[in-house]
Amino acid sequence: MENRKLTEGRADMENRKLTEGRADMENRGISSRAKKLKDKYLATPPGICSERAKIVTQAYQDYESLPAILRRAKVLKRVLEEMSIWIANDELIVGNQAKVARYSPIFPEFSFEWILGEMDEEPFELCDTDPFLIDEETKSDLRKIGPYWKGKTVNHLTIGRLPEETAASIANSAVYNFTPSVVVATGVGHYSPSYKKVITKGFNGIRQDALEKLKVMGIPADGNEVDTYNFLKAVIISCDAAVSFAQRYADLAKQMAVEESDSARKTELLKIASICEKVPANPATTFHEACQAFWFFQLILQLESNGHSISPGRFDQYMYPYYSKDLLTGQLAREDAQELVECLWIKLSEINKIVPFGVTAVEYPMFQNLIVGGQDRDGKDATNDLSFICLDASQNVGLHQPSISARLWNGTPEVLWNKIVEVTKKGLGMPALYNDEVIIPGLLNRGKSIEDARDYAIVGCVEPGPQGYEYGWSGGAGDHPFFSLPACLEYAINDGKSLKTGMQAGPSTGSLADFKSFEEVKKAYEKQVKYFVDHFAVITNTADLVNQDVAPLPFLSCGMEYCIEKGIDVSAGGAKYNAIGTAGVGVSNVGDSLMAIKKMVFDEKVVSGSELLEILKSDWSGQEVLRNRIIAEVPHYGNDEEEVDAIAAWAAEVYCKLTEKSVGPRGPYQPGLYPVNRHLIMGFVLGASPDGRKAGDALADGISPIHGRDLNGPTAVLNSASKLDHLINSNGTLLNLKFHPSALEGETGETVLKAALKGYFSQKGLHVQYNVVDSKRLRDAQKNPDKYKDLVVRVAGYSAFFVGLDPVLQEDIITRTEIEEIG
Amino acid sequence: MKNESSGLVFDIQRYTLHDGPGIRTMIFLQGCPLHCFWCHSPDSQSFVGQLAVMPILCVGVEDCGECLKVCKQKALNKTKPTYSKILKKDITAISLDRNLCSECGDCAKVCYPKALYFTSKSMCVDEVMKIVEKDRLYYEKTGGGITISGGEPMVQNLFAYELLKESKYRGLHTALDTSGCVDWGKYEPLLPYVDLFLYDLKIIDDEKSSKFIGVSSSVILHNLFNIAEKKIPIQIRVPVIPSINDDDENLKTISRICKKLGDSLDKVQLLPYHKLGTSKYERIGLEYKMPPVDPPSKFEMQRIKNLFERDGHNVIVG
Repeated sequence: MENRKLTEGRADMENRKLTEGRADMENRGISSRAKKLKDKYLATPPGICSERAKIVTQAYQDYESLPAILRRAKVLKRVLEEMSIWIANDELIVGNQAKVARYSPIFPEFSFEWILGEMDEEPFELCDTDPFLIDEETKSDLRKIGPYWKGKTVNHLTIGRLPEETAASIANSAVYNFTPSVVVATGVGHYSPSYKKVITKGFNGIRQDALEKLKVMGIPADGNEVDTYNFLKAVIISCDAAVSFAQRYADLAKQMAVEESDSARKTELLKIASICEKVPANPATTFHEACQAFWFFQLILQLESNGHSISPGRFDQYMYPYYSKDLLTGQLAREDAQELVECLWIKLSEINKIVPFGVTAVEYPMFQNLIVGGQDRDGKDATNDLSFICLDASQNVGLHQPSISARLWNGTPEVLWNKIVEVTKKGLGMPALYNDEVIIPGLLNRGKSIEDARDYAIVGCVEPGPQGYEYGWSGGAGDHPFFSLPACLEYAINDGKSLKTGMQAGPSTGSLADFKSFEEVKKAYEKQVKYFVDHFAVITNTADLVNQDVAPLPFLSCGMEYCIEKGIDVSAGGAKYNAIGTAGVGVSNVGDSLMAIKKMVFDEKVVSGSELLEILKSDWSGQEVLRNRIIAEVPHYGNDEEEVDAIAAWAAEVYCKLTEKSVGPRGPYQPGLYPVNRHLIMGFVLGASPDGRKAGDALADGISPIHGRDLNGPTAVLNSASKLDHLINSNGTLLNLKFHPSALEGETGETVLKAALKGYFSQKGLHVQYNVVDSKRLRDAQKNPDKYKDLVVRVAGYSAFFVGLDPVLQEDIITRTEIEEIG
Repeated sequence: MKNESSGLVFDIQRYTLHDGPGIRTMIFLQGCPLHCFWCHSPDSQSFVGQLAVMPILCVGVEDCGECLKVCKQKALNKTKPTYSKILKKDITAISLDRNLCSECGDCAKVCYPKALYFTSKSMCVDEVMKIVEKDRLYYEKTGGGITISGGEPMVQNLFAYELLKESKYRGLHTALDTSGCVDWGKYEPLLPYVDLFLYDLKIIDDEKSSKFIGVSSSVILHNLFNIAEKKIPIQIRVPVIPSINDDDENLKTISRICKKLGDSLDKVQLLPYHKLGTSKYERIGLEYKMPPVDPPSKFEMQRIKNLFERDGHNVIVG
């Protein structure tokens, strides 16, 4: 309550400051401390650490007879007691995930076999993208614990529980990201808990809540009360574990202070010690304490389960009361806050987890989404000084984490727009931008209260959910929400069979060789999507049930509203809102392919259905003319052309409407349209498609057009994308736009960038992310012109397609871009 | 009521940012009476469309060769195997013998990869407006609209008139990008439909003007002052071409002329010379006759900007 008053009291003053544009709000560049930490960070290659795996394996055996909930709490406690801890030079925020920064711990209880397999067959240290160092000792540690986990992991138990037909749909189709041996690759992530609760209450306060609930319950004699009792006990163990973990750092800092000769650092270490003694056990009172409490919570969540996308959410909101109070009382200067935030950004970047080969993304993404701006619970603009500090920290630190995002609406102040444009121009591909005007109604449509809907954060890539209230499973089972729409189309035109292997993958629904009309093609597509959406639900529901049974999350439950009140673990539905998210991939490819079938086979009869089918089976062999003709003459999604855009929107809607009807053990399904990076692998396993794509080529990402097929500029892409129904895609949509920095130069560039965004958002677009193409990408465009046919370089009064330019000029432009990047 | 008057459209570009206020759609009309040899758009000069060749896009006769089948003049030949950066393999591509070519365009019709293409196409006002309307929302958000450019759009003055009139009727902001080189009589009917002139001033010295761009500067200046008299906003555009028109005398004269435009002068836009158009010469079988010079440096552009600003002008670069 007190915090709330503080926020309100400051609001007027803050607004005034924002509009006046104070001189001290200017970004002064990275703090020297953060610079040192960043340099060290960059010099540390990622690796694999077996410590957690060893502790967990022993602890699981020690607590064999305990119910899962207590066992999980005690296992986490053991990890926090026994793992190595360290405090690095210059650090102000302390707490490590593994024995070395950027090393990945191992979580054998979720999924383990693939790790042993890849150690030998796809060595982690030799991966092209995202290698991880691993030494012989670590390998031998991991091999030793292998036998214990056989048949016990969440992955094994899920596979064992699947109906036969569903298991076959995994083995035979290319619709999912699951494989017969890996259905649950990671633990559950994809949530944004209440950091506010942990920071304002402290774990002692949360522990107290659990104790009181136990007291009220008395002897757990009724119904399931024993389970409730055990859950609350697990919460208490988890709270104690967090508190003693912080105490270990306090002790270490004190000991280091004794040995420290530099007096300034000695003072810092003593301060760290006193902060770690206070938080996260007790409510934080200063900004520095709040940052440290935030970090312990985030870190322990990352150690409890190995899900990705554990998202800090509305950091600028829950941290603001501490910031403003410290600023008012004079114990903190704005630069001090900037420095602390930058230190946190480096800590967030240190978190690392391995994923199976093929799921590997580039640059070790952890998808810890942190969002600024937007509205408060009453619908007023929530932008504050910390929103700017966060955005500046991202451009100063320039590392991949957190995934920074901004919420925008009709009441967003112009100065925030300006800051967003400034950061966008740095070419980090961030911040990603989200439209309150679409997301809030979209969440209302899913039954959230208006206050909760306004208080949404983005989880992982693009998935909106009320922070602290929703256990949204937006990553589906084992971080695999992905669903390939082009695979469904492939089976729809080939009687349920794969074009590449001829194997029966889906139900038999007729063949393009026999269809008499375009309508029949659409019907077959609908049937295939229905079949796989249903089996997808079976898989994900099974994983959900297995997680409830064997891998509950008592520590997360401490920070998720209503779990303690209800006495139910978050995995069993303790949160206020429950859902399962999914992500359709390749909608642009389906739209373009259906358009090609309609125009070339049925409308203009350039090629017969059976001929086209054979051509696709042969991967366009000897048919380069037809392939190029389709690319040239068939309208493509992304060019603002009515017919194909409508077909793409239909293809997406089929998937979304069917997905909405699925029901999970805890709650409903929510469709989304985004790919992360799965459009690469999901394209790799498919045959050629009627849109002119060759077998194995990547699919389009999110709702962005296929690379190189959008030739009418960014407004056309924005218009096409806005024709999809973003409201029902409450698990998020993703649109990527590429720009050369020249397009954003000067005042004009900035003004129109803002205008273009506002235009898309006023047409109910949900998300957009502007990639300012850096010199690295331009080099790639030189090497792979086919992927960048749409890249336009603009100079005054003149634009040119980059790939069509003379190599010497390309070189010139790259050099110029590099100079701007340095400048 | 359909408007079917048509013209030769060289290109349409949506989302242009530097050709008048806000986000705009640029309509480039084919044909230009000038022959500036530094031109970045040589393929827009001819009064009719031309066949252009962009070899990088050719997929090779091994997989295609459609153009060879349709060329009645035998003007297309196979090249020696050359490496295709797009296909990442050696291909036998196509080369064009312009001495034999009749520019019938048959090959372009079957060249789906667009290695052979025609530089312009005939479009009617309604077709153009359909594209222009697609970004109405963005014009409204930014004060943008339509810009008619070229070539020299006044070569097709009747078509330009129809486009401008239709745009004004639809409530769009209009700009006309012209070099001022045609008779005043052609401008007059357009004036009520132009919100902003983007007006090129290149070389003021009459003799040099005739030599380098092929038109006397007196015609250009005469038209300019007439427009100023009608109080229509004018944005003067000065391409800065090293060693051709970047001497202080010329630039200072331009600046003085700008001063005489009084309230009509909106701003001065300096456009530094660039080489992005050089590859286009080759595509249409022309030689790039501009002597090798470097584009003006940022420093140089700033100096020129200062020069104009000393006369009190509002100046933008690029």
